[in-house]
Amino acid sequence: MIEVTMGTAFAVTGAALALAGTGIATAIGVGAAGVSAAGAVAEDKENFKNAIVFQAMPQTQTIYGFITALFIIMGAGLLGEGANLSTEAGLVMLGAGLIVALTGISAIFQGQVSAAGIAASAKNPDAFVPGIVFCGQVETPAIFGFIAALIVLVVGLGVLG
Amino acid sequence: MFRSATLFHTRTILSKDKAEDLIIKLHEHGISEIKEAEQTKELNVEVYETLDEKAVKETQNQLNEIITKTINYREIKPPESMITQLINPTPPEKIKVDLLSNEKIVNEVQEKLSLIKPKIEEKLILIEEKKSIVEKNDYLIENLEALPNDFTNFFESTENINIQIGIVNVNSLDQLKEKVKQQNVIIGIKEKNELQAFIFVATTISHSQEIEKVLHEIGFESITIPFEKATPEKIMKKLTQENKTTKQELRAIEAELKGVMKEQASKLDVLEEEIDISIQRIIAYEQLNKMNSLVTLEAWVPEENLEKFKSTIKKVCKEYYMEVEEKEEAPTKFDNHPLIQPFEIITELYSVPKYKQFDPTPVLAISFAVFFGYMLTDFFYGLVLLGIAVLMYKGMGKYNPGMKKFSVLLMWLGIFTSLLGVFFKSYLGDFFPRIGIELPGVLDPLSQVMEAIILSLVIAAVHLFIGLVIGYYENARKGKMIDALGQQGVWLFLLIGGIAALIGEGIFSTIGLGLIGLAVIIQLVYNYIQSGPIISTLSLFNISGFLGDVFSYARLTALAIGTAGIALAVNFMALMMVDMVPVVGIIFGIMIFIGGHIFNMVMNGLGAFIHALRLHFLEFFSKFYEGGGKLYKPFYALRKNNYTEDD
Repeated sequence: MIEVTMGTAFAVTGAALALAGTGIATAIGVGAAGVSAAGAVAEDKENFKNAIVFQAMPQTQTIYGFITALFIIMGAGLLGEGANLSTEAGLVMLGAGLIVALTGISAIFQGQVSAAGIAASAKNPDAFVPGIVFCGQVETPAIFGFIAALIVLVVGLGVLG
Repeated sequence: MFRSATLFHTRTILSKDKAEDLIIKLHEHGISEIKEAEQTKELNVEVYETLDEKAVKETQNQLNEIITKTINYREIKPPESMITQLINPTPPEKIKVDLLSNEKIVNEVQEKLSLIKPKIEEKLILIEEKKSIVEKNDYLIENLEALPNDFTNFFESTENINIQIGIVNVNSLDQLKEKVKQQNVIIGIKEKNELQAFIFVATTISHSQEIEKVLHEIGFESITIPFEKATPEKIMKKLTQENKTTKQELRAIEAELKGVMKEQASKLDVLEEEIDISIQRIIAYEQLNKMNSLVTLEAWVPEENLEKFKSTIKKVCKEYYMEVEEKEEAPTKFDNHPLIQPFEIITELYSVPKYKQFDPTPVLAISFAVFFGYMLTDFFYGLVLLGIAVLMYKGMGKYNPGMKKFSVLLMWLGIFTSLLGVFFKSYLGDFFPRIGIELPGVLDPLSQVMEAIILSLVIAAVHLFIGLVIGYYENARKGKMIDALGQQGVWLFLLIGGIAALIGEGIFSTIGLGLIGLAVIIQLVYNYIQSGPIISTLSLFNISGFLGDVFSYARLTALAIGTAGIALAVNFMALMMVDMVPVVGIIFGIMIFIGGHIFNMVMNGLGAFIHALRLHFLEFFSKFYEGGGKLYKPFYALRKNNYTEDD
């Protein structure tokens, strides 16, 4: 077993925050979209294929959270190499996790836009693609948060290097 | 390319007698779009009965009625599996028909209906009869079940005695007893279930009205039973037997009707399509301007069809008058190479370009495929997409033009995903390096994040530069030099100046800063002239907005890393499973590997598509593209179930 330092503890907290924060937001978003989707499918089963696409939209934030968490775990040496992570490096990783967790909150609002998109495209199939684009818009903060975290982890700390 | 096809506005005056023939021919050829003709107000226009409108609509109703009634008796062909539909779908069956006028179509449909309808209706009536017998017997059986085991004619009213039999709510029984306490009645009660009870109430004829009133008040529901000198049990047995034979007969008749429908269903579908085509002709006829014995037909005709259009008219009528001119308000007919035509869907989705305005589809075709490929970026994912696209093109695409276009789009996306996958060293993520095989590549987005971000910003600069140059050229072409400078020049200076200041040294850096200064001044002055001092000052915020547009392209890298990151996690888990779990680990490992990569391809493929759309609609189009045009929709008889051999 590797020696757990304060740095490792901070880093894992960062990984936990990144994945838990985005995970909770995704769950709320996908939930909101799911409620709308069930209604639309009850009206007409044909709505299923549109609804499933909308419902998948808020899931990307969790993907960003997961990749960030994975990079932090790798950087903290928990995948075998074993490294005595300094407290400072651990705090930096915690910060990176926090960026992704907080920007990932966008998944909640993306879920709301998805729900509206499901309802709109059930009424008018032409509203499908515009609805998808509206959903894509909400993801912007999460994308920039993810880029910032990547820069911190990969460029700053050299996690993969 | 880059401009829509040339369309002519034609105005043809011809004899009213020839109008229907001309509409039929134009409808079959699909070479023009009929537009509503300008009405001549000063003439007192005679109202024409349009192309047998009444007869066509009545016939349509009759036909629809038969189709709706027999829908459940059609032969249900086992549905083709998704894969068969995709790769090798059954070709649609088409029946040959003659090209007929509306009147003849109505006659033909009526004639065929007179043959088909009696056969079908006879069966339908029989089916209804049998069904009602079964229903009635079921109802009687249900009622008889509630009865005590006496002869049922015991409950029949006589000359002097009125007997009511029926069902009441158990809770109402006390109320009933209370209300009829003073009356001269006999009540029999048998519980049917927990909630309801069967009752019979016998009274003299003279009291019957009062009793009926009371029964009505307590919610008595009268039931019918057969009165016979037999016990309910016996009658029920008889009725059940009767139902059994009736159901057998019913099944036989239904089978016969299905047999009839097997022969007739396709004929009915052909007739339905013929009537639909008649209706479309009527709608077109309504667009004509009618005056006395002449009609005016106005239509948009693409340049390539003009000769055919003229010859069609010449064939139909010897004498006519035609004006042909190009008009600015013409609809837009895309004019792109078949390979990039699928990308028209994306332009259309945003807005169709106005007639002869710049069509961004050719530029978009390249940049959309590049962006998608950049974001999904995996050699093998691209190959899978390409494979699916080729199968679709050869299978489903054969009979479905929409699918054919989509498959070409998918081919482009697949090719670029593979090419950029090689560029980014992504072959199912990092699978091959993990098993000790090094494959070629230029940039690893996971370890060279900064380089990848800078690359996406370079792409942003090039993409926006192209958009701005197009916008500048378009404005200049229209003679709007000030707008060209204020709307695009500013950003061109800012972009070039910014790049020079960032990477240039010495004099280049100074020139860069100078260009940025110039851009700011032009921005202030242009907006001052256009909207006054307040807007002019506020317009400085557009500069940060422009920077935001450039940085928005960093999402290309974020999504590329998203794909690579998930692929890495999938490979890691799959190989860990193989290493850690003996024997069955390899099976679980393969399952994780395949499932994980499919998930990654679908999720990130969706993301790549959405964000490629966004970058075009928001960042790119906003620099130059106006849209607001109307799509050219040819007047064309789409025949799915039939075909004609037209000259």
